[in-house]
Amino acid sequence: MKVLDFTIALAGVYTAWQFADLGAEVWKVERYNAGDQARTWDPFVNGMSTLYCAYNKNKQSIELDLSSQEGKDVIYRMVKEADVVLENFKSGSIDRLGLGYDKLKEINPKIVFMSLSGFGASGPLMKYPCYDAIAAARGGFAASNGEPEGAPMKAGNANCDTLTGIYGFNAVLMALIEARRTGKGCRIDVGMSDVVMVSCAETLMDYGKYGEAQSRFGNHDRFTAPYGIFEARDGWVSIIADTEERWTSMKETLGLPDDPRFADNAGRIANRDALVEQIEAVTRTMFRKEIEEKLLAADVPASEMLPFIEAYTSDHSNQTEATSFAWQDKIGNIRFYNNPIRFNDEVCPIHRGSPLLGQDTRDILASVGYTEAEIQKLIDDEVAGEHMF
Amino acid sequence: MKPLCSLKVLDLTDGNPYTGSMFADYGADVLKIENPHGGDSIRRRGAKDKEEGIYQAFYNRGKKSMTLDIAKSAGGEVLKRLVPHFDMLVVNKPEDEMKKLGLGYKDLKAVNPKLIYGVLTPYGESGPWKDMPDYDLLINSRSGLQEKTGFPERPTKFGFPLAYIYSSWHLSAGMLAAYLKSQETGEGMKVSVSVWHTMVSLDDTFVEGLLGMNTLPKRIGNGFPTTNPTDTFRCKDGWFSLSIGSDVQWINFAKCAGNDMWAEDPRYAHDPARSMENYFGDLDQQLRDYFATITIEEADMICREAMVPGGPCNTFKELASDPQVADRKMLIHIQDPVAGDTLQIGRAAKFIGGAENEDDEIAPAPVLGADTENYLKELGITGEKLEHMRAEGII
Repeated sequence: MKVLDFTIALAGVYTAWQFADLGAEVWKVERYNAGDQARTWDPFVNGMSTLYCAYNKNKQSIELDLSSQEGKDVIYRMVKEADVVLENFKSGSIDRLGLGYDKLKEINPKIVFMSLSGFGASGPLMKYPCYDAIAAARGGFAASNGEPEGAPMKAGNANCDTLTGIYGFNAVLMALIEARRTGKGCRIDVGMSDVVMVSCAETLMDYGKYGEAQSRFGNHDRFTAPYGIFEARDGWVSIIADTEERWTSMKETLGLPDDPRFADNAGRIANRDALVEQIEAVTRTMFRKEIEEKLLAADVPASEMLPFIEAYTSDHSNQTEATSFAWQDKIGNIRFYNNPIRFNDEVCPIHRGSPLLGQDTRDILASVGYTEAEIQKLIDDEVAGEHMF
Repeated sequence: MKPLCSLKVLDLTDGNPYTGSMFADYGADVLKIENPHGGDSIRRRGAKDKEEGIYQAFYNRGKKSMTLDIAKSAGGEVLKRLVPHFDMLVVNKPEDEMKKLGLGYKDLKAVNPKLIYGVLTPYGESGPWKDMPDYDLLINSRSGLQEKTGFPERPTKFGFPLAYIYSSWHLSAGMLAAYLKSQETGEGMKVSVSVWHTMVSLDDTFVEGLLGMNTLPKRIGNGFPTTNPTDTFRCKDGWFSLSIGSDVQWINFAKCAGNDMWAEDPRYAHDPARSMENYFGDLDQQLRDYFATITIEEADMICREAMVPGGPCNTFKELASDPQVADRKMLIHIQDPVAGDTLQIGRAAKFIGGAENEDDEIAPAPVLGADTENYLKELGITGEKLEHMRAEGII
């Protein structure tokens, strides 16, 4: 499978990355002498953006001036060979470039063409810019998290981008299944805000059904207590005592006093602030790991809260192939995350790290039928490039 | 358009309906296999008393339901007879547990070589954490994202099962990719996803971390480490999110907000000084003070005029009357047989100009076991045989 990838912002870059990890040939088309904007993002190692590295492994880079007719002609040739086109320019920009779906489907009627954008290709917000944090705000994600009277909270990572990326990946695969069956491709329109609404459907629809004025409930569950995040001496621990047996067990393990207010779940919910205070008076004196171990041994679901670095350097990570070594130009042999999707219990191989700008320009041009002389001319004319940064 | 109208899926998941929902929303024929003693636990999540909740009406819409106790050998036999009529099967327990029931991948491959066998587990099927408790909050806590979410003084829990949803969408994608492959090779595949692995792999700071750089992930609320202002501000009447990505955007915002100093003063006008030196503290406070004097609507108009990313922190209340949401059909009415008229979230992927396939209605969620007899009839199980299975608690 071949993917023609124009994406420039994370949501689309993530979709392309999933294709690359699962073995498709992904032709990342990058702006002449500039490339993916993420190449300019801090922090750097030997001039290479580590953020760019994180999201572009297994892809190939072709550097093109798309404003020139010769550059467009290259795309028209590539489209003949491709199964998928991905783009996430501002809504409508790709049409103005002469590379929109209506043009490309004339060349390849089976092409599946996905446009990802902040708000989708219709509606009053269509033309406005959107980043992860704005999709989180507009789509209801942020308002679902945080203290009821405090600020809404987005995720500590660009989750609305990555949710959109994986949702879009699903959509393209669906359209490919249908294209193989019917011989006809289609255009897919996905907006980040829409995907975000699907992801937090639970808090949204709940509010819709019961009409309750509250959209977020802080660090503890609404229906069950104790169920949430508690402070430890060296960080945080999540504890779930969702049955009376587990509550009794938790009480004994942590040495909590008997308190008639907390006799049943209804009482614990009604007096939750006092309950949390009583629990934290104990957990604050203990290390997170220690709390986890004692509670798990007493059959109370619990987990210390790990920073990413402790997660990916854990024994579990090491023993389950969560990461693998691969060569990254400019940096060296480094670990990357393996894709979490496994086929027949095997992880997808990492062929290479993230490509330098234009690293595969010559190879891709050759594979779509350009002769060596023609390729040289495109490079000399500054239509195609191999700047390699 | 329903691009999956050719696909048939057996959904054996319990409490984790998201993969099957992705398939059902886009036209696949999804048959839920539910235990006869109350069915999928998702039916009760978020529900008051013994009712079924809105979640089940949403997550199970468009699916069919059959009760079948696959832990009983006669139930397992029925499942094996169903498998040749389906393209996919999805389960949220380790394959080892299915093997004990004689329903592992190899067992079912023997009756349907093209079967795609999907497995979702909290931590994968091996490794020291494989038997850790299966709760979204706990998996999130072990994976890094939970620790990184929230203000510096304390992490913030997610209000919905983000880890399960995100990883279930990886599983559905993996199964669709495997199905495409099986169309070429004639051979199915097992596809498995660990929720924990999915969550940890969205960390984009691992390269610097592994290289020992001293810029490890920090918890910075609604901020962004390198381009600012990115934050959520309290307006007169609620919360508003602003996310400035460049000097041009910032200067446009400053002008539309009527504050020339922000656009001209060298401390604020350009990066990296604005974002790195003058944001955390001085400029941040100025913005807080500014937003406190305007309404959400005014903030929104300023951002639109300036063409900078900004928007209100919507709850359902605002979304219900949002013209953008209406245009995108992201809130739809579905007549549920139990819950009645429900307002549900729509489908985020819009397929335009594909093959003729215009039936776009979404069917409501099935009542537990609504389709049991139909499917058994197709297998030739009727009359006394069927009554016997009912009496034995197999269906």
